[in-house]
Amino acid sequence: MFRSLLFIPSNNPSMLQNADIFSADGIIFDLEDSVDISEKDNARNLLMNYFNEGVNYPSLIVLRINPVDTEFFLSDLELLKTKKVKYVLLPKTDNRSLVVLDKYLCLYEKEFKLNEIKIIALTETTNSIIEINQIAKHKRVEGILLGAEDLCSELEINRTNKGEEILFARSKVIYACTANNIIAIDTPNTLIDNEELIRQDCLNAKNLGMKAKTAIHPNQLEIINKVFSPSKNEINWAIKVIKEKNKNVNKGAFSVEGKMIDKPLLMKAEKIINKAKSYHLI
Amino acid sequence: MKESDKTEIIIESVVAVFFYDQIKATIESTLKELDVKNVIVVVEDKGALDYTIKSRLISAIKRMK
Repeated sequence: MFRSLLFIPSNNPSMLQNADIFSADGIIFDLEDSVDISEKDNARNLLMNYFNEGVNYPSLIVLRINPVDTEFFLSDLELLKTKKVKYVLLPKTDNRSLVVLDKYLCLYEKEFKLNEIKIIALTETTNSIIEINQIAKHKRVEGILLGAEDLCSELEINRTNKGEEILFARSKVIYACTANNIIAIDTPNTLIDNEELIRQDCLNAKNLGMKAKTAIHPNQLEIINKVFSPSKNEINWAIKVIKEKNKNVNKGAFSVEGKMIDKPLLMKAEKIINKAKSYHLI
Repeated sequence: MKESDKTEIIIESVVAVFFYDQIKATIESTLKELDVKNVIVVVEDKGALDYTIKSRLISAIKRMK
């Protein structure tokens, strides 16, 4: 379970060195867009040695590789041998690229005795949004990240903080993820110094049903973590619901604070408690 | 980094006073690990950790080849 993932360019030694102290729930080590094409080898070498010889690591490591149809794809996968990577973030995911990556992950897991590596699908093309239901059903996919910048570029539309232009894509990601019990992850915000606009963007995403958000700067993490965590009021309500349920074991419905609680609200309370525990809020 | 008739390591580091020997040892062990001889290695360091120095050297060797 996570609510914030921070992108770090893999060719930046000082960012790698501090990767374990950021307040993100997970770190995405990026080998793709934030690394210039002339520096791909340098970034990969640095990450390989960091994974092999570093001292402290983030608790959750995601590796954004280059797309399957690039010359860098197979070299990027060599990093899996370090056994540090839990998720591969696959750019421009569609059904075809998912099949290709899955084939190689099977080979690596068998050959190098790795734990199962999961995939976060980066849906950033119109085609990936169209194919999203199949992507979400894939056995390795544990989350879908919306990549709004690339998507809007393809659609030739402007990104806004309000996000009306990505409402359809956000909704597709959320419904596909929720239906398949995987994590809907919102697109990063490119603003790094306007807390109020970042907060509004996070709230828009959360209120639609996103469960986590990516950050491209450490400044964004505090807001993301706060917005995507259950609030104190939500936690207090959930605790009351669980307590009342324990007093009314054989009842299908009971009341809390003058309102009826039945199965859907009980499930909601349980999810809030699980999140609060996971994020060390209770 | 370039080819030469003998191996030479030149280190310019802001932390040379404290870490010159450690940086040199990292360069030497990496060259040995990759079986690279007869090269001049110029290190311009601003306080990087060992794995960073090693990584940059590996990239330089691969690019030279």
